[in-house]
Amino acid sequence: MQQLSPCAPKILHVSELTAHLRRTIESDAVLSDVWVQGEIANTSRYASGHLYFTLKDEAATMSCVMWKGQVARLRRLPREGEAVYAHGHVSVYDARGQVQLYVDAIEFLGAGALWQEFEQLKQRLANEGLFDESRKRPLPRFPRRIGIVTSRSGAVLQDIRHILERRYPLPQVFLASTAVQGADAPAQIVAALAAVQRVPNLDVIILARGGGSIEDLWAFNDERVARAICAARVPVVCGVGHETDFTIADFCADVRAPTPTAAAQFCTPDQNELRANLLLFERRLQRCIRDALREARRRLNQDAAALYRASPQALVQNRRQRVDELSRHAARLLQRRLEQQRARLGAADRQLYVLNPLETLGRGYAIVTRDETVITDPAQVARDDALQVRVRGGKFMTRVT
Amino acid sequence: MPKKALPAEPSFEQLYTELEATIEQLEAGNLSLDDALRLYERGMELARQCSQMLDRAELRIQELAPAVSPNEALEQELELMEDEDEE
Repeated sequence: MQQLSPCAPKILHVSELTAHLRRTIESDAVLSDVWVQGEIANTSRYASGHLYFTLKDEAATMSCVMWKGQVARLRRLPREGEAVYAHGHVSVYDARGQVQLYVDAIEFLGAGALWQEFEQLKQRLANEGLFDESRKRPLPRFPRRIGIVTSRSGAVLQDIRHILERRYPLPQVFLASTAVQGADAPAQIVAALAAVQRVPNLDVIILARGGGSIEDLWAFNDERVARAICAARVPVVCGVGHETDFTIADFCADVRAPTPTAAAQFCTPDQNELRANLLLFERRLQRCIRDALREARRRLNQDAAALYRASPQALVQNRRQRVDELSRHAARLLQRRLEQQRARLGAADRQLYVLNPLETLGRGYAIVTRDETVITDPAQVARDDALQVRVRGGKFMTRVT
Repeated sequence: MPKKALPAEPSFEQLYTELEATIEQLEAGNLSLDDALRLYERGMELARQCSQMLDRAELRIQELAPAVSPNEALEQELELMEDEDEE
C-alpha cells in the first residue's frame, strides 16, 4: 500500500476490494442464508452441468449460479419466465467483480402449485374414466411370474425381496430397474413397465418407491406414467411412499398398496397359512374316509343281517322253533283236557257214590220191596203183607205186623 | 401378450385347487367306497405335492436388461420361453 499523503484514504488493489466486499457480504447473516423470490430469466446450462440464470423483478436483477450437484436434486429444470423461490447465499465472483446468488435450492412456487398441478391432472384422468373401479383387475391367487419396477439400489427392493422369500418364494421374479425420482424418472418408469411386460405369462407387476416429499414422488404423478399403468396388460400393484401418500399412479393401479412392503404382501399368499391349510385338508380327508369306512361297515352288517333272515337256515330254525312251541301248546291243552276230565269223573264219582243204592245200604239203610215194588210209604203196605228186605249183606222175608 | 400352453408339470395353483375340489367332493358324500378311497388317496398325494413345492422353493430375482432393441427384446423373450419349458 502506498500512501500519497498522511490524509489520503487507503488505496486498495482491485482484488483487495473484491475480497473486502466478499468478506463483508459473507459476514452478513441475511445474505448468508436467504430466500429470494423472483422470475427466472436467461437460463443456461453448461456442459459442466452447472446452471446459470438471473432472477429478476420489476426493478432489479441478480445473477445466480447453481452447481450441478444441487441441480440434479431438482425434480425439473426451472423454466424461462417462471416465478420461483430460490435459496442460497450471496457472494462475489472476484474475476468479474460480480455479486451473485449461489443457489442451493429452488422451490417452484412452493408445494401449493404442485398440488394444483396434481389436482388438475387427477381430475382430467378421472374424467377419462382411467380410475374407474370397473377397470381394476383382480390379482391372481398364486402368481407364477411377478414383475417388479423399482430402483435397483435402496431398501425398497430388499424389503420386497424379504417379503417374497418369507411369504411365497415359488414365483419367478423379474426386475426392471428404473430411476424413481428426478426429471428422467417418468420416461424410465414407462420404459421399465414396457420391459417387464415383455416377460411371457407375467401374472402381476409391483411398482414401488420408498417414502419422500411431494417433489420426490413427483414422477408418479406424471401423466406418461399414469397412462402406462392404465395400459398395462397385467394387473399393477402400486406401493409408493408412505401410507398417507397418494399419487396418480396409485389411482391408476389395479391395487393401491400403502407401502412397497404391503404391495408385495398383496401379491402373494402366506406360505405359513398355506401349510396350515394343507394340514387341515389332510385332517378333513381322513375324517371323510373314516366316515365312509364306518358307513360301509354299517351297511355291510345290515345286509348280512337281512341276508341271514332270508336264508334257508334261518327258515328251518324258525320252523323248528315253531314246532316246539306248537307241541308245547298242544301238550298243555291235552294236559288241561285230561285234568278237566279227571275232575269231572271225580265229581261224577262222588255223585255216584252218594247216589249208589249199595252205598246207601252200606250205611245201614234197607230197600223194602213187595213183589218187586219198592215200598217208600207205609200206606203202601197192609197187615200180614210179605215184604222182601234187602240189606247190604243180602235179603230176607218179613211180615208186616 | 398371448398366454402360452401350460407346461407339463402342474403349478402350485393347479395342485391346490384340485385338492380343494377333491375335499369338496368327498365331503358331499353319496360316494361308493371305491370312489371315496380313490379321492382320499388323490387328496393326500396332492397335499404332499403342495407341501413339497413350498419346501423346495427358492426365490430368485432376475434383472431384465434395460432399454433393449427389438431384436434383443425378441431374444430375451425366447430365452424366457425356454426357461418355462425346462420347468
